[in-house]
Amino acid sequence: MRISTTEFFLGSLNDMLAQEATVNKLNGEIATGQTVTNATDNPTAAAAVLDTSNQIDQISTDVQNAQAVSGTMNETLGVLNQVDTLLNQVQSTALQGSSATSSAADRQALASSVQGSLQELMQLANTQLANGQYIFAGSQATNAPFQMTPTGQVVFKGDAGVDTIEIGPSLKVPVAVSGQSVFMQVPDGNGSFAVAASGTNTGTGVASLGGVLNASLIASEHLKNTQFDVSFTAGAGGTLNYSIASGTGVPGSASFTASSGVVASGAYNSSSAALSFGGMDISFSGTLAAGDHFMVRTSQTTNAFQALQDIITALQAPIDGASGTRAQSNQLIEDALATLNQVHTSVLSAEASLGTSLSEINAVQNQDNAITTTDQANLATIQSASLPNVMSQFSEGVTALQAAQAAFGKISGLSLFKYI
Amino acid sequence: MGGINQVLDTALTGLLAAQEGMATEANNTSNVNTPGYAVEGLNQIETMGTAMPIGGTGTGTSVASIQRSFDQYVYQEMVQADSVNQAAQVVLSGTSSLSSVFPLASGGAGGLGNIIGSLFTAANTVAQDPANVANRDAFLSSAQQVVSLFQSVGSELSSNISTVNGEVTQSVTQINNLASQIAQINQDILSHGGPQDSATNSMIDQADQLVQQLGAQVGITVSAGASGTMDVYLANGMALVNGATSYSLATTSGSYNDGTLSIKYSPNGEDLTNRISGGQLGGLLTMRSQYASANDTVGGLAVALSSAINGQQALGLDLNGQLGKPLFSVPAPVVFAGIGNTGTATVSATITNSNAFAPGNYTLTDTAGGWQATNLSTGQATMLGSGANLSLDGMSIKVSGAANVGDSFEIEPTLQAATGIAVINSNPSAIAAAAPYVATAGVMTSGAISDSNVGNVTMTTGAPTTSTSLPAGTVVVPSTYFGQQMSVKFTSATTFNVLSSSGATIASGTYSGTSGTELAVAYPSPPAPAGEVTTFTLSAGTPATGDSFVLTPGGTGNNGNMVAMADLRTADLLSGQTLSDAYTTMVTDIGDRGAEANAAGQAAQAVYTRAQNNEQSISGVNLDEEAANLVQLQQAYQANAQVIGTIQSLISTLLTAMHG
Repeated sequence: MRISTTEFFLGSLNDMLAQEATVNKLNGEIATGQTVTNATDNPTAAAAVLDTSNQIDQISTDVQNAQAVSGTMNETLGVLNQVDTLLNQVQSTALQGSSATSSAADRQALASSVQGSLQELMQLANTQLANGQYIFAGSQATNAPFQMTPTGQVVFKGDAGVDTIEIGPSLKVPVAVSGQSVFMQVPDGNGSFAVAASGTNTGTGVASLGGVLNASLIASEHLKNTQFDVSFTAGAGGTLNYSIASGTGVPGSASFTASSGVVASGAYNSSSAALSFGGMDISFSGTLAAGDHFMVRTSQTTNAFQALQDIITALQAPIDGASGTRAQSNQLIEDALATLNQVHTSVLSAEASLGTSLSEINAVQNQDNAITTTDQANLATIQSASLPNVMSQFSEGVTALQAAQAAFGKISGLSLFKYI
Repeated sequence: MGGINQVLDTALTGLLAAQEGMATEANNTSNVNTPGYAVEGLNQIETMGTAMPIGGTGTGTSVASIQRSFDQYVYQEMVQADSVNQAAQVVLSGTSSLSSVFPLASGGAGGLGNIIGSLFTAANTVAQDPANVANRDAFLSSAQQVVSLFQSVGSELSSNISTVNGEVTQSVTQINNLASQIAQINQDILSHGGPQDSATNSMIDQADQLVQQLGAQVGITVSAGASGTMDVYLANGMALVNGATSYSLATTSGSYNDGTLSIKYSPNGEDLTNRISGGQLGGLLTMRSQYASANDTVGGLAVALSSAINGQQALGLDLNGQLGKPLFSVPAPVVFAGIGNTGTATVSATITNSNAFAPGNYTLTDTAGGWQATNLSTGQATMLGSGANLSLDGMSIKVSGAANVGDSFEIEPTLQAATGIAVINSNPSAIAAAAPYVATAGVMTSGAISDSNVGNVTMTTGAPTTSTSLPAGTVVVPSTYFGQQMSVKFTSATTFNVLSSSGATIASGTYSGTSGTELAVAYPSPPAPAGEVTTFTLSAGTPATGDSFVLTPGGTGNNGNMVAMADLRTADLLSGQTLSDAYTTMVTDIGDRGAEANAAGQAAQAVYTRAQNNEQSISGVNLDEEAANLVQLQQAYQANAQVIGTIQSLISTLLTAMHG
């Protein structure tokens, strides 16, 4: 084919330009280390880069969340551990007080020690984080949630709000525990029912809270606000008979109405089994006397501070007066210890729920890290230039460009005019 | 029979023809680099001699014409290929600059999608510690960053569009100039009237060159007229040059005065904008619509982000306990009235549900059967009925005034959204991180909550929803009580009252112990959407009469609303996609178009190169060929001169012989 001179030059010029474009592109890849710098380079890779980097970003947000809240949660856990220790101290103090050998003065001293513990508990419950937020205040985090009224009652000024945070795709964990549920929603007694001794008791018997025989029966008595009056009367030959009446109002007081009458009665034998009624059972230690009354009711909501206050009150109760006063006081300690146990349970369950969240965070974080590692490897495969490949392509391009230039030099020298 | 002088004359014709030939070669050689020049050659014929009974010889040679070496079809193929290639190259460089507006830095960092992601990360940081002002500030500065990037992307795209509009104007001016120059040359050729000589040849060369330039501007077809003139038509058949007459194109604002230049055919005013293809102009128009569509989509992202965040703001409480105010503002959809409208109607539009909305433009035309909307990207027409309030694809449209049938409006919903999005609240306490209410068991007495509930029912706060999606019979406390502390009190095992903070009963409901019961408090609307409520659940269980729960506004430590805001990252917000998916789709689309343009550009370049080579192989000048021709002509000249020399020596021999 006939070729025009212009075309002859233009052809080799275009070849050189094309080689230069290739070399320039490869040079860019070497400089940035990336093969895909905009979507036109490779639309499919671009979509993968955007999706993968979005996933990495989302996971790193979750990881940040997890790290941020696990700090707070560990701090909360630390506070709950301190509360734990404090409750153990109070428990052993109370047990010391209930021993038969403790004097009124001993008990007074123990009471003031518990008083100190109560102050400490207040402080722990009003713990602030470094940012000034009260750990147990719920969403009202800027005010101290637990405040003592002039009458010595502790009231809760927070709310039950518990924040959650995302720690993995669509996975949220609570980041706190409600101060109300830890400190203010403690059932008294053994958690199901509570016993109190009448102030007129003359025996040395102390009721101990037995087991729950029928939880649903207790629950239904609870809803009816039933109170039981367990009374002992003299039977034939120095024996004791017991009679249990159920009704409403405080047993032993004028307000008590035995609306349901006597639910159980019989001869009482100190070696016999516990008394069972209304799904509960209670047993007695010490010696009961005719005319002793014990009042039994289902548990009501009290709070951790009140539980300590009850122990203080019990330790301060007189023991040296009329017959039965030490037993009455011991009964108070027995009840307060049972309640303290419920406080303990409440704290432990808060610890458990935080622990569950924390271990979930741990597990998810490991998974998050694994996903991120894979994603980053994928991203590198998609987006990063493989330097050995690019370098060898680059050298090829440079060689080809040099060849094109050399060819141009030769071609440009060709002219018939030179020879005529 | 000719005499010796006849031989002299014959040799002379050869000499002259060789001279003429060398002049032609010189012309070819000097025009080796002239664009449009077609190599010329002598059309030499033998001159007839006197008739002889048998045999006889001619009387030399003459130059019948000087012919351009030219093939009309090959030439037209090259013009067409050039036209296609010009358009493809414009689109190639355009798509590459479009995709560089959305760069993919290492790991996708710094792109719009990534920056939007950072906003949600910042929202999570607020959720980690909602009362922390530093975190709130960081969220706001992240919002500012998002806005700045939207603005810079938007203004980059609009400046691309206005550059293209400038280039369109230039291109149209050039097309008109070229057309009138071609018409002028046609005129010259026609008036020259003589045989094809070097004067006509150079005119035709010029015309060819101008036609190729015209083809580079816009797709054309060419037909060779009588006597070497060229008629030029646009690809759709409209004439640009017809003999000595040229017809011009004009750029005007379109029928909606929307700032987009339309191209009109001056003779009849017909709008050719959508019918032009090929050439720079065709490429520019393609790019203009790609830039505009990218701007619309980015605007759609801005609208979706802004309405989602603002919407969530309106459902939560800020640090002052107030429902959140909007954080972003986005310009409303732009509506252009048709310039031919005769009625008094004005139209405004609002995007009410970005998730049902697909970025793109619409026309709204009043027909005898009501308003008809046409989606300009898909061409789909929808009848919207008549009346003042219309709804269309996630938008609500308001018509005021009276329209006449035929009046029409163009709606560009997200035209200004990307450039115009702004952060309008810079107060960190204005971020509505808290859920509106927290439910706490117990009763409120002088600011303290004491729980003496006997039953085992618990109460939890739920997510905001619309009242229509609540189970039938759900108690909804009217919005007038919103923001107040309230309480819920069981009046029996199956009934409860909702009490105001002063203890007045404001609602009563029935409770199911087996499945639990929902209740709700209505948000004030605005700022919240109409019918929006916040929900609570009373768990299944057994309540005792008098059991109570207190509903208190979410405090500064509450992150309920912020968690919901952070969750918007994975919510479908724009056309049924999450923001990051919508962004990826857009970038990938742009990349696909770029890759297509790349392939098309290479193919068009190859086709053009081949066509050009074909044309050059016929019409191009080859200097070696010229050199060879020159040598040949030189030899012819020498030979003829030699003949004359020989005749001269013959004559002098004769004269010498005669004089003795």
